[in-house]
Amino acid sequence: MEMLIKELDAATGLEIEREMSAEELQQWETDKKQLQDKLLAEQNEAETKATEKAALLAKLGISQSEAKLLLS
Amino acid sequence: MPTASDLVTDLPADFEVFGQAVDTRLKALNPQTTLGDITYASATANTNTRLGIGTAGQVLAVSGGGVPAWTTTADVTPLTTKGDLFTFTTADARIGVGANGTVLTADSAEATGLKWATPTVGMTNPMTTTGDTIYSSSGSTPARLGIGTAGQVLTVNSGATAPEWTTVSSGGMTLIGTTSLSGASTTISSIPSTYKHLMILVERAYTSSSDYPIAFRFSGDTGSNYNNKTLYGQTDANSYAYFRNDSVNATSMEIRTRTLSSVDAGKNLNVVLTVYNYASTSPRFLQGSAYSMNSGSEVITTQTTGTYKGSSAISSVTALGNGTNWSGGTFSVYGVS
Repeated sequence: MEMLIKELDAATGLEIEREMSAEELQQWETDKKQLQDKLLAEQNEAETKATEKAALLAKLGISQSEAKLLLS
Repeated sequence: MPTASDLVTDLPADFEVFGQAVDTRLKALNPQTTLGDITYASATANTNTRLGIGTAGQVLAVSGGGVPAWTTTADVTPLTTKGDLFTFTTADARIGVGANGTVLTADSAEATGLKWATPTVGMTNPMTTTGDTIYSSSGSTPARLGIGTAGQVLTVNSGATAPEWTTVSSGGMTLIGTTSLSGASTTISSIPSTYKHLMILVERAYTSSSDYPIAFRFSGDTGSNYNNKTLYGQTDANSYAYFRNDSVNATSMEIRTRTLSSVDAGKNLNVVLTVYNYASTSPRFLQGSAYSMNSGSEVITTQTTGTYKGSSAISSVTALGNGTNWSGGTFSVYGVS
């Protein structure tokens, strides 16, 4: 994947496309990792929640659609 | 005895000879003999003296002998030089012409009460060009304000120290910049600080990898200055909505949505993000909405609010692919007056 940056100077109208600097590339990697960590955390949270939900539905003896109806 | 045709020159004497005594005093009253003669009384009683006409231009004056006499007068003007002015001291006097540019000025210290003096300049004119105006730059110091460009209006500058010509905002929204989305990030820079708010618009955007959230960064600020909360809604078999993505001190303003990796106008990502008081250095309120469909054709809609607490006015906005590349779409920034 090309690591290009596009920039429009609103004052001059000049548009450029250039390669990331080393610093920008490092920041991009940092951003990506932060996002991945966040998504992973959310995914884990969602899976935990799904497990707990399923357990609660089983405990209540209702289906998911019935639960959705109750919450609507 | 005079006859009827005789010229009587001495009538009393003629009558006296005739035999009858008469008063002869009248004989000396009219001594005139020539055209232009005038008569004046002499020292002798009842005896006038003839004064013959003078020469052309002479005037009648009293002679040294105390009698009238025709006299040629001398020129009494005091003027001697080109430009002289006739004035008076205790007698007729002249004031010579002054130096070029001087003006006649009253001066009681002068014998004539007048003098030529350089006029006092009230103000040095700073104007040099058609359309210039004058304002005070400090106290009574005049300064030039050059003419503005067509359509501009006169306003007070930001420091409230001087007038300046300013382009009138058309009101509403003004497009600051627009470009197509590409690369790992796309930035619109050199955003002026002259608007009240910014509206950031992403239309029909898609990325090289699908199902990625996107983010915005202001003025290249990678500091922990972004907070936001998202109300996330997704329609699927379960059709749920909930608050998520509680970002505190994050390094970008994330818009929790999902992108497609291909063009599909009805499904590609659309985002509007408003930054209120973007030019302020206080924490700025952010409000955003996003709509897209993910790769599973599930509609995703998000409402995001947050703050940006960077220390400078926002001068650029970067749309981050946030781990992927932009493949298409339009990115625009509007200034809101």
